Amino acid sequence: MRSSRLPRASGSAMVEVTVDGDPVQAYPGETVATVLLAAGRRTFRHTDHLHAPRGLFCGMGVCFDCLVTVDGQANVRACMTPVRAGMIIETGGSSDA
Amino acid sequence: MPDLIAQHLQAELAIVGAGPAGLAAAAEASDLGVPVTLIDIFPRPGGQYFKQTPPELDGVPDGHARPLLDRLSRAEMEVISDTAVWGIFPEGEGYLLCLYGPAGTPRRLLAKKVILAPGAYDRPVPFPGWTLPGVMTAGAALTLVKHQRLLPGRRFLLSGTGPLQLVLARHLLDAGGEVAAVLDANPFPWRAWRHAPAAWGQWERLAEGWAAWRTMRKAGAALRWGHVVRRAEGEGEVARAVIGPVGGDDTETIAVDTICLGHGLTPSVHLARQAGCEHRYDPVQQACLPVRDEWLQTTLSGIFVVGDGAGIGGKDVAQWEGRLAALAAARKLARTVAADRIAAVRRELARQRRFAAVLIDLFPASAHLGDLLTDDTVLCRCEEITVGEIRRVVAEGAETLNAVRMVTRAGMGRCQGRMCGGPVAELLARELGQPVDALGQVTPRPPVVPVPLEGLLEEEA
Repeated sequence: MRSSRLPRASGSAMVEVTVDGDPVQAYPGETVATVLLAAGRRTFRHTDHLHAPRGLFCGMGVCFDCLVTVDGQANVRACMTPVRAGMIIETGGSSDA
Repeated sequence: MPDLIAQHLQAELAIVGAGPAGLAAAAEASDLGVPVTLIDIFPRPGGQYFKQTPPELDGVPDGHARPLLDRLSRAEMEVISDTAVWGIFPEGEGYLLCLYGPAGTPRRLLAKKVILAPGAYDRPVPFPGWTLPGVMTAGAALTLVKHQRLLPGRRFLLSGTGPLQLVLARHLLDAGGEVAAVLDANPFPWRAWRHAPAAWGQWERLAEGWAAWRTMRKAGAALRWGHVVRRAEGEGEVARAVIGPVGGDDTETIAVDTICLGHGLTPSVHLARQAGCEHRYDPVQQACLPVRDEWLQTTLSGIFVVGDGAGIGGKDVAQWEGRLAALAAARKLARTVAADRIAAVRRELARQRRFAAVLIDLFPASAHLGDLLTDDTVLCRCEEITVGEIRRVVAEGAETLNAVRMVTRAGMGRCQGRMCGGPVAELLARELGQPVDALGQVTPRPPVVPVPLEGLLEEEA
């Protein structure tokens, strides 16, 4: 896994979210992008025309590259969206997406 | 009509953006008794320089930002967070701001005076492979490691220019990352000594740079002047970086999993341009900047632009600009402003601008980066328009930025040209052999950020 969490405050409890159907643990305060990267996923979607992989790029809501589907809503910026317990996150990360 | 307008939220002074410039403007205005409505796109105020780590992740607010953030709890401040301003239109004596935020929040705000403090973002510098996952901006990497407590890779290459790269390198090393190299596109700044008078007194900044340099030396991370990443390679994500001298050829391939691009910043001008404020291309900053008077007012009466959104100057220039514009707005709102306060703010602003000019002089955006582009390099990341497609329409006679956008769709995607606008202009200028300011400017259209159709309505549907 390329990304790794740095130590968190002692005693902070993780919450569970779902990423492409799999349960994934997350810390409150993290963005969806952080949760995906910490889970070892760098490709958040594939583009429409060239089917090229894309992930986090600008990290501040400007480039719209890190789009994922959150709780059924498409085209949500992973870098700008705080994670919530029970959130259902769908990526376009698999190459046939 | 009066009844309709009465329904809108009203403000004497609307400030857009809660970074250093907007926060300082808000503090100064409220000191003079002007009620302030501060609108910000992020969940917590602070912008990029004063970004707050979420409290759940053990965030301790930046000591410098604390006094400004504390002021926001004052009675005369209203803060609207998590909200985009997607358009500004003249209305009566003031301006109508169109907002889009969480359910139940206001959609329109009628303001007598407006201070825009939109900030900036990492200057996009395209090269083959720059869309691969694992290539990210220096700003993205810094946010992840500092404010999300996540090290976004194992082995990093940093490519760009200027001292912020050293700051990022230090954070990555402190977090346990390996930094293969830091490439600076500019030559070693031998002429820095000439700027000693302007740097005098900037001890905090100089100390930060020195500490970052020491950390890098201890870790054995190489700093290579006049070098740049020329290509990113890998299957589905970054595995290798091909580097070489600026304006030269490939010299070396290094194995890295993450490439951070830190070619300085570029101003966010979309909102001011949509509002109708005149902008001109600035060859020193290599960006379109709003035309402003000595009070930082734009060509539209009652609209001010301050901070990095009006030209990159850093957090201190931003704060003093915010204060000056707040004094000017307060005067226009018939408040009494002491002459010695105006003089003091102008003096401090001038001092900070001298130092900001040093950084621009020593670490300019390199003019040679266009050499890296190949015909299959994606320039517009949203619409996936390549360099070759743009060269073709230029060969077919396109001579303006509007023409290139209309024919290719480059700049019409979700980011609305924030990523490709500069690179397309530079490519067109190279192909035509003309200066960038001869190419015209693309016509800005509301909404300046993507908003669902329903979000354009005055009331929630």
